[in-house]
Amino acid sequence: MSPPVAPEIDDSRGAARFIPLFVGIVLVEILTIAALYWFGRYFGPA
Amino acid sequence: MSVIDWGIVAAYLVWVVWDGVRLSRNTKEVDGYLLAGRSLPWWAVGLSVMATQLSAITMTSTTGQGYADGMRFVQFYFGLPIAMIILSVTVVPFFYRAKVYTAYEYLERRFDVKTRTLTAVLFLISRGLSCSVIVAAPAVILSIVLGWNLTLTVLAIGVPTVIYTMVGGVQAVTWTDVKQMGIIVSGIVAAVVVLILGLPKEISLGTALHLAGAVGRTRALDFTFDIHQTYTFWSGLIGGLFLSLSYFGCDQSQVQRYLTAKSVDEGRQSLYMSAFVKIPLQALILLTGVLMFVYFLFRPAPLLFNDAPVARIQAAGLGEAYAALQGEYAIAYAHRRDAAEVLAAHDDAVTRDTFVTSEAGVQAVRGRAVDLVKQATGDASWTDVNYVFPTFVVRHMPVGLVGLIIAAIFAAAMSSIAAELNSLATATVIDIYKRFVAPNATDTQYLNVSKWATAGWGLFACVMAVFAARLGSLIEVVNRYGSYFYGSLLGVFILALGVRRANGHGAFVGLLAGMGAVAFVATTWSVAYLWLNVVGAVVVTVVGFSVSLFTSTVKTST
Repeated sequence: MSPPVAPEIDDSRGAARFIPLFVGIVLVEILTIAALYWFGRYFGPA
Repeated sequence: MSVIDWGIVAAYLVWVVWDGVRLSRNTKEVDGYLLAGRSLPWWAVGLSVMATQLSAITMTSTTGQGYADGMRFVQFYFGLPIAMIILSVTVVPFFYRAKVYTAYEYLERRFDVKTRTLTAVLFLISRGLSCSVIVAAPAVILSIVLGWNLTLTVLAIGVPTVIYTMVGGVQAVTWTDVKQMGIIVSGIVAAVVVLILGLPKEISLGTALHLAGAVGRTRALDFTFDIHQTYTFWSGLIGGLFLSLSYFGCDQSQVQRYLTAKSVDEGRQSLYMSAFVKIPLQALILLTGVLMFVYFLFRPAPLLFNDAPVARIQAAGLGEAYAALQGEYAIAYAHRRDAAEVLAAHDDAVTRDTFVTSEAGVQAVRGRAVDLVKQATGDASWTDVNYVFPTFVVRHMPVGLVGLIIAAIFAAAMSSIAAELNSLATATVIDIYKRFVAPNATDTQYLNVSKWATAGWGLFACVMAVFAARLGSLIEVVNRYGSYFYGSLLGVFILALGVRRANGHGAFVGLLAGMGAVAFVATTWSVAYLWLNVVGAVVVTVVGFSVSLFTSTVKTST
């Protein structure tokens, strides 16, 4: 069995180019948590 | 179930096998069979990652949790997006460069054969047993709710899954996952629509949510820092982070998904999909449960959603007590419905208090009924929350949609089982067979052994599922012991990737110490289980590093 042959891996710039996406993920999570907090407060006990 | 619904479920089962086999390409070599020749697009891998994690237990248990406890469970997933970012810059490119088939294969290069073998064997045992649980849990529920034979239900879930996984390998698993994810989401959305349309005319969606909120069902966040509470913001963020790092970064059933991606970047992007979508999707599933709670305020709901143990209650001489409870329940239920109608028409402190008190009355009667079941069956962990959603589907959904949702429950179970079988076969062949039994076999031999390993694990899962289903609370025990392993495994990979001085002895001793520490903490302290992942990872890292300092010289990583 030959080792798995991967296509050419070009990762020279690493994950740095995904930093805007990371910021986006964190922002979406914060907004989601904020929305869930609002949801609980708005519909919850007065 | 109507003939149309039966037809839909049967058509789904036939289609999933046909489609899975049809879409398999280049599966005549091990690389194609186990890793799809690293050719899959990020979106397919991302959906497969999500489908693998979303099992039938999620559909039945999470909706049940939404019904009984509200939205709090969503906090469990707060650490997941952060974990995906960390994994995308660490583990994903690392495994790609190492050109491995399994996560454990890498551990021999970095440490030694005993560390690789121990982690692989622990994976095989824990995943093999959890696979049987994933088969058993929906089979038990569907067999009770639909009146099907349990063994036949296990076979209806297991056999088609084994066939397409065995024939098509990881490509069949991934491409069927993509479509199964579509069926699952369609089923959940259909249920939400039916629930909203099924509310009384005078109850709007907003009013329904206010009713649920009055008894705490809409409260999603709990910022209390209490390690004894299972679902809090902090246990989800920190404990959930460690669990997600371990599950997505070290568990072969997940690692194998992104090893099939076309490139490092596509592997990364597949994880970002979960980072964006997972929390909203889980919130939607929990919201389905919350809406079911409101739905059953106005529609007849049984005293117990799983009435299978009623015969045992009668046999135990508790029939009269149960009949009396049914009478009490009818009164309490009517009182709560009236209180809900009053609150919906006029919201003030008095109407709210009346509704909250009436809800407590209903839950008190239900609690006493559950106690009777526990007394009659001897099963101290018995609960009926997993039966709420299937009961709603079968008794309250229109013809056609019942079939769609039963198919969605099948799809959720099969997508998880297929990924597990595929990863179990891969670890069996790569970490055991190739390493110890036949290191110089031909590609064809490895391919054939992979297929038979898939079938073997499928058979094991189905047989164990039938036993597990009859043993009841054993399912919970298996899941619990499986959780002992996760944090500790993460600790081994932290040592491997992040601690240069760590060596094989340190990793091996650290792993054993971590699992021991987790078992000790779990059995002596009442710590919520999400924190056990933190305990395991920290103990393995500290002990592994310390032992490494006192043992052999540094081994350079690949």
